[in-house]
Amino acid sequence: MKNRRGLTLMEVLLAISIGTMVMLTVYKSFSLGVSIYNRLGRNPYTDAQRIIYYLQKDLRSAFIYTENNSPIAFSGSPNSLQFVACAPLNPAIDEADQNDFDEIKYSLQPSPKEGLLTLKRQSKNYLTADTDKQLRGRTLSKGIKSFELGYLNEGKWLDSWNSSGAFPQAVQVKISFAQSKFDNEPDDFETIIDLGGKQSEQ
Amino acid sequence: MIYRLYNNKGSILIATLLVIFLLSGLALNLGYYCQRDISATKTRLEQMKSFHLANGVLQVLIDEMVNDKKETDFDTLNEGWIKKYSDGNKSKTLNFKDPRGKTIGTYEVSIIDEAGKLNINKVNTGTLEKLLSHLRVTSPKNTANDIIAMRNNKKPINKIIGYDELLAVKNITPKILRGEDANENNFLDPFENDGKSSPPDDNQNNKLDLGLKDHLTIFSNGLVNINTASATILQTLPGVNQTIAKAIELQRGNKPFETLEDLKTVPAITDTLYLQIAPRTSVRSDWFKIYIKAQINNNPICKEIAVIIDRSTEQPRIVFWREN
Repeated sequence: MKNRRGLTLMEVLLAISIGTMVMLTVYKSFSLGVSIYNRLGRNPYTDAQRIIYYLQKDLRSAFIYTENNSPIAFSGSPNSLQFVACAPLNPAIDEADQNDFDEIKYSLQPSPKEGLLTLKRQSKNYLTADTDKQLRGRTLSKGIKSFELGYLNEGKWLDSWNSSGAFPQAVQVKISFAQSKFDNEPDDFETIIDLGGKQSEQ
Repeated sequence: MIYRLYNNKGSILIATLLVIFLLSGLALNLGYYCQRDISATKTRLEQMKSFHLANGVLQVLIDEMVNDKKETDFDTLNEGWIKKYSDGNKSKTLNFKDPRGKTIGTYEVSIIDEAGKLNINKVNTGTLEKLLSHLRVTSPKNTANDIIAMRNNKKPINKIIGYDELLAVKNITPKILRGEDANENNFLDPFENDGKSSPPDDNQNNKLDLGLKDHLTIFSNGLVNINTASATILQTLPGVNQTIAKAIELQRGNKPFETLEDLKTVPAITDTLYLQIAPRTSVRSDWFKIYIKAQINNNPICKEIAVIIDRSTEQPRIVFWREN
């Protein structure tokens, strides 16, 4: 058995140091990637941002034919909201599906995780002959602890709003999430969406 | 076998390469998800920025619109506050500058007068029939009757509130109803002139073919503003044919009609004809559709809004808001 010799100390040290460097780099890049992903994907801040973005967009387009006995209602309860909004401009959908108005519903549903709630935004075509169409929607957040809405009318915040032919002056949104993974980020969000410009003068 | 592999020189290299390959696969996957989320967030940010730009322009326009109401007793589409932003049927790109004079974005405005259209809830069968035959709808008379009947049977109010309701009427196809102007700005945008390659379905004739809904409104007081109405709408007025409509357009191009009486200055309009037209027309408008497209520094993401403002009340009101 010729050539059978061990490794020198230098070789072992070199191997260990190279190995450590490689492992460290791999570990570091992975942990960084995972933390970026967590921050982007599922944290209260982005969820809140998404919810408020959609709510603002939909409430801006909310439509009521401003005349007495308008058949369109704007109805809101402490944790759900349903109204009719003008459909997006030039949507990239096929023509048969195109529509002037969408019926939009925000509602809370139990979440697969215990003790948490899911907030959903659902919509369907309004004013079409096809009345069987179901509400279709997307989940805005799965980690909600509480979601509360308030409606402003003549200086008073109301729990619910049920009126055809009139909008509340503003809608208040309070969202509270389950404990964040990151200590420096808030769990509670609150905003007021102004509908003043849409108020009818009756 | 493992023993043989272990004993083979260079096998450690293969094993290392295999591990690196697997790890890089995982890293790529992670990178893809991250990138997707980052681009979604970025898109939303750009949309927000351009929205605030568009909304700012809108607020300025509402202010100017209210001031204009106090200034003159007649309204045309050639007035200062409109000319500043839009240039007839062509798009005009304006720069948005920050206080230091640096351009931070561009915007495009189109102002359409709702009083230059027919109010679907106040129009009578004869007028509607004329409009339908102009748009080449089959059997315009029956179709007009059907539309009026549908309107009168609606509960709880005898009003049509969305143009889509008209699709329930026979002979009104989505194409006739919507025309080619998908973003409601009255300009021929590139995507409205490219055939079937992107919605809407258009005929590539370099001309914007308006749909029925572009000639109708649900927001005016029912009187047609002779200063802003298109030739198509002018021809739906009693006794007005193509020649008279052209004469009216020519006359208002020189000098807008400041009062209804000014209509008599059009040579083709006799006293009898004037008495027929007068009860259906006016020279005022209080409902305007404003279309704004805002873009932050050549970013492909832009915000388009189409809003109808009612300035008939003391405080202007947003009665209709659509955005992309």
